[in-house]
Amino acid sequence: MLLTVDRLKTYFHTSEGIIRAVDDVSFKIERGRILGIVGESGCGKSMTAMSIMRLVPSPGKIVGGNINFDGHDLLKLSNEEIRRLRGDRMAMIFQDPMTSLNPVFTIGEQIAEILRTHRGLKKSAALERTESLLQNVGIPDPARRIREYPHQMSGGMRQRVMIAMAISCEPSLIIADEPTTALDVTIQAQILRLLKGLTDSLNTALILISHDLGIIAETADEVGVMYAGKVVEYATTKELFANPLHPYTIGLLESIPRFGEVKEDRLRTIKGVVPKLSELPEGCKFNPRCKYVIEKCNNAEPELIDTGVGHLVRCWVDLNKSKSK
Amino acid sequence: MNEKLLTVRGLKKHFSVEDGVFGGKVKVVHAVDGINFEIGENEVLSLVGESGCGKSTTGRLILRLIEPTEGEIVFMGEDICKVNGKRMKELRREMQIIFQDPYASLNPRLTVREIVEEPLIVHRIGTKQERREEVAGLLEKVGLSQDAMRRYPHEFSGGQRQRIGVARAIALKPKLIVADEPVSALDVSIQAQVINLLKELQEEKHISYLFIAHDLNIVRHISNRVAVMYLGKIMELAHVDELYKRPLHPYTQALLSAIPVPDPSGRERKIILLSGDIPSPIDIPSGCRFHPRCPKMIQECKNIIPYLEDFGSGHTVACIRAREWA
Repeated sequence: MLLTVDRLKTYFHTSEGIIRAVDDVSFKIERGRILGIVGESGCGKSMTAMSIMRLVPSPGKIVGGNINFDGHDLLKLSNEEIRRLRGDRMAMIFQDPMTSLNPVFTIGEQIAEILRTHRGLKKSAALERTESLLQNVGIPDPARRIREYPHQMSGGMRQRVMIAMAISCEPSLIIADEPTTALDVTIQAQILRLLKGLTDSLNTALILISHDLGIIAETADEVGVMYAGKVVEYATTKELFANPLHPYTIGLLESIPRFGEVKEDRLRTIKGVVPKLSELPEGCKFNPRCKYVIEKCNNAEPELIDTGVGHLVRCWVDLNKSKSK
Repeated sequence: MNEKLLTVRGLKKHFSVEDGVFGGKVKVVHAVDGINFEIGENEVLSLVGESGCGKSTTGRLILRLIEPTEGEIVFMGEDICKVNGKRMKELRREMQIIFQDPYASLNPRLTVREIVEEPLIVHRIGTKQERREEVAGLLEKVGLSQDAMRRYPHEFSGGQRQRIGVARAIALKPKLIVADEPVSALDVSIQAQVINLLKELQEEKHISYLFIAHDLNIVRHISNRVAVMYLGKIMELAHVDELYKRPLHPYTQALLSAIPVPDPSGRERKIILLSGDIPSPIDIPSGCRFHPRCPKMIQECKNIIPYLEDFGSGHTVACIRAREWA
């Protein structure tokens, strides 16, 4: 197994109390596979990624669990050791390529810097390799583009540059956090295709974080659905979309407009609001919004249970059986 | 034929930008470059398109928040660009806007009551007591509790804030609301709530919407008709079902095919991948402005500027080849 995240807990100690941004999250991913993590704002999906990269911002702290990456116990590595892995063996792509690129260096200098740091390449060799990387991610005329600054490029092109940076050292793991959210739909289609192709050709593991179930359905092999810091459902993509078992997943899927024979007049909704992590309810975190709620949900938090076939769900109500009846 | 609420003819908005560090060279951004459309009473027309296509600029032009470079905007029988300030203020009662960002569009120093009451005060409607009652009714209408009145915007979540924005927009009982990406800043589970609210109000109060959005699923759900914009021009305009079932412009076809489908078995479907980026509205390509990215481009497309042609029942398309597959 390339990456094993086991019972990860990342908490923030704030004046409002302890915020459990990531609370007991476990998953695994193998090379060549794409794991989708889906959820709404504040569900902990980005903080899970930051924890794996050991980039949790203060006052956040990883307070429990294990992260094993390619034989390394990530939580035990020194800052120096983790820095050597980051950008080399594991890389990250962020939502907004404009703020993650340095505006005062050319594209070429920024990618070459990684190659010089991690691979010890000389300047000319690094630039040569940079050109071929840009070619790989579909940037036309790379010889000219390496001399350009980030502001001279479009959003889609900048995201391609970010991807080129991420794959520059052929990492075994890439984490892409909402990589297409800032992009237009026709450009999004290009970038998703590119990411998928690279996962195949480089045999890289990809963790794709998104709020868009459509993107997840089209790209991921497996999916984890997160809510309020926890994984509430986990299954293969095919299984999750064919047979969603958690009320939250079901609600999310239902709230997307559908166009069958008859057009539905009203969209189905999940009632209430996305909760603040500082004001979570007792018991199951989803209980105030859940339409299947029973007494037990208000008192005790359910565990993530395997319903068989590797389909995990964190819910007291067995929606699987109620369906078949 | 019923009287159209809004008729837009030959609408253009060009912005000048100075190029280079010391100004000098002036370039022109063709944000909106000659568009025509109508919105009837009680109708939802959506403008869709990617960033820089001019859809938001169009929304602002219609409310005369910015002045057009050219063209007519006839609202309730009057060209709003020709009326004086006093008349404009009267017409503004009938046209309102809901903004994308519910965090930036509400004054943080005002209570919710003050925010929703403000348009009533500006237009001198009712006594203090009557206005209070009106605000209470509006908040109930948009699904907020009465104790919201004394609270401030920061105490609300994004979805609730957008409800406050909606309450303010409907306070004057307008005939037309420009909704500029009203749900794109909201979480998925909250989007559906706000869309339902907008649809309910539209049906109950017979408001027309100019709905500006890039989420094509939501557009399909809420619209009567849809106009697809690209680089300042309308490429295709049709009834919503017609457009989604029989898109005729290659750009519309690509746009619709690129919507991610929340169903893994949909992976088999053919996505029309467009090459390249959206060009800058400063350097508009010659001929058909979509030709550099168009998978169906022929030589003529580089020279001939296509005009919107009617393909029956109000389905208009600006493509010289559309007849070949219509």
